[in-house]
Amino acid sequence: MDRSAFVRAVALALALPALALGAPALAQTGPIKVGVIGPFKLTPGRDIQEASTLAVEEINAAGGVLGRKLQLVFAETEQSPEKGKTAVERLLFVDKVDVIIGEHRSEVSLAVQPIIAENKKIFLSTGTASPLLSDNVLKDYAKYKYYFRTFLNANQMAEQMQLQLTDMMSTYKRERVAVIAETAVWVEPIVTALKQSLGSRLVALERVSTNAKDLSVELSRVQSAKAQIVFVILAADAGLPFARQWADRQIPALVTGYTVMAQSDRFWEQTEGRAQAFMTWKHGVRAPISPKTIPYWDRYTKKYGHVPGAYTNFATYDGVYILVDAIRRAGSLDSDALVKALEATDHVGVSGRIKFSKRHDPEAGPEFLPFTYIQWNKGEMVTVWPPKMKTGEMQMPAWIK
Amino acid sequence: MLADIVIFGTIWGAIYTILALGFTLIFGVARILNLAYGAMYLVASYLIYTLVTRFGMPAPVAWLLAVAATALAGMLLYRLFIFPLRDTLGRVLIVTAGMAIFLQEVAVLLYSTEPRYVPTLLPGSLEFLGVRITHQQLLTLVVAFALVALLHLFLERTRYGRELRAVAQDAEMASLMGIPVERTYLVAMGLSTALAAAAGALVAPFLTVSPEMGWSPLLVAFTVVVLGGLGSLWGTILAAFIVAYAEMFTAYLISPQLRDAATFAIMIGTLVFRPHGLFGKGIVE
Repeated sequence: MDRSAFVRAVALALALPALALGAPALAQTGPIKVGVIGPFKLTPGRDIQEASTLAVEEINAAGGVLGRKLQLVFAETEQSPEKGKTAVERLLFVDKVDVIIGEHRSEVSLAVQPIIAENKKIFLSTGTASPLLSDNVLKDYAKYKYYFRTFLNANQMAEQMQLQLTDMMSTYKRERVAVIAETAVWVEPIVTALKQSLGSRLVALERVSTNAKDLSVELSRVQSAKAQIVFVILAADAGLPFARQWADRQIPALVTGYTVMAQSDRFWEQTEGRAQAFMTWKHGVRAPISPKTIPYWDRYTKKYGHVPGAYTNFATYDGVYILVDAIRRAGSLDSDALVKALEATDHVGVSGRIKFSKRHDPEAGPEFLPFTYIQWNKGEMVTVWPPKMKTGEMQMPAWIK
Repeated sequence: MLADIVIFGTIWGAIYTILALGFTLIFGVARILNLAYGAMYLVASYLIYTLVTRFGMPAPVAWLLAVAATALAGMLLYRLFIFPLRDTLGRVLIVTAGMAIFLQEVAVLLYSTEPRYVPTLLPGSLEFLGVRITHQQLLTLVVAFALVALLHLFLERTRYGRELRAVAQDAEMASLMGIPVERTYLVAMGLSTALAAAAGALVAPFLTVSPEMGWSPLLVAFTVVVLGGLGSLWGTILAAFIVAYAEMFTAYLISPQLRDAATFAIMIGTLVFRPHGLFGKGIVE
């Protein structure tokens, strides 16, 4: 054996045990990697990014979990199922994350859910609503048990939305309702439920593409149907032209429902004030939902210079804490142990009390996740529903008596 | 409902007219099928957004500056990328499509995919035949007609206009008559881009500004030019209004989601049954 061959052999002999033992040893002392997916350039994604960052900073400042710090690894999905798959594969196989959280579009979550499940990693969705995701848990528990969600599914949302709509119809004596809903997978259960419950009081149903730029035709049809309330279901960008055109055209119908763009702190500026009296359901408001809610709202606002925007904000912040709590109780990062720990969750967070159902969705209702509505009034988001939590009175648009 | 169709059809018809005139101008004069045409509409809209929201400029000033800057950018693009490849239609198509995608990606990078808005030049609205029309939409109508009239005067009454028409008819002969053909192409590109930019600036306040906003106007401009035929101002105007009313009828009476489908149907129908369009020379020869 010549000298260089001898050196190589010794190096190899020393390296092998290190490779065999050292890698897991390192993995257990390094940070716990949390993969975060979402469209970070949009408000719902920005909120996933900022809320998870704040939660992780707080948890790490308090010593982390199991003696280890948390480290976030962000992967952009751009609302595209294909880009979402690439992002998740990168997180799983290149960054080797321990768990994955986030996402805002159901189409993306549905595309990545099987990949994460096959790799037996926890996927805690903090912003997608399609019931198909949690149907999978019921249908094939062994494969999909790793999926959880800190945000309501669309069936739960439909039930709660109808409560508010019925209340609005009786309080303001409005009988004729139009629905403007985007064509997306999460919307279908809500539209079906509204059709059934409203019957002949549903005077117009308009479906729009998620990238619609002009809703003037839909608004004309709503107006000619003499609708008194327009129930909006728009998670995508179309919420912005809708609001601008609703005010410009002075459509004589009150707005309620769910407009994601209207949950953003930038909405007032984006509509140049046309959002006055525009109402939307908003998950996460500055109201005493739990003792943690208002302090979190203020802490967040101080850190980022703007108020929590989209519904993903509270769902993500609570999601990180629920995950950490489960890791602590499981005592490891083993996914099966984490599933058991997550199933036993009973967490009071900033969005309310979160307990997972058999479908791994959070339980809905006032004692769990309250359903709150905001209305834009002079540049501020004011909580106007339910009456128990309102921080201001409902306003009428200037052109409606 | 009929009043809605007539009023909004007229507004869109006016916008489509200026969009299509710009598109047909550069094709008619220089035989350039500019697929980056819609991207110029995008550039102008983002420029106005930036000038107003980041630099606090008054909206009318931003509007004029953006149109002028976009026209210059169009001329620069022509000189740098189209001019060297101009002799082959296929290469021009590829390079202009590449430019359109490039500009769209730059918009994503600089502004993200979140929709932006362009401030309204004229706030307020009025009611006409039971339909509420914003002042911005009325302004759009007036400016669009003014631009068509100005373009008509330019083409008929000025030396540059006559040169443009001469080059459009026969570039070689025009060159022999001493008309600087290259300069004429550059002027045509500047004018064409300015019209796309003006359309973008007019429409953006009542729609939204987003990176993929350039493709829809390109489709419309192409359809109008196919239908109207090349080289006919009146053919283009008539075709623009036919497309706009067809879109509005489809949207109001069938489904708003079929609006673009109506445009495509007109384009395909014309190419198959009347490839030379209603007037003038056809785009497919």
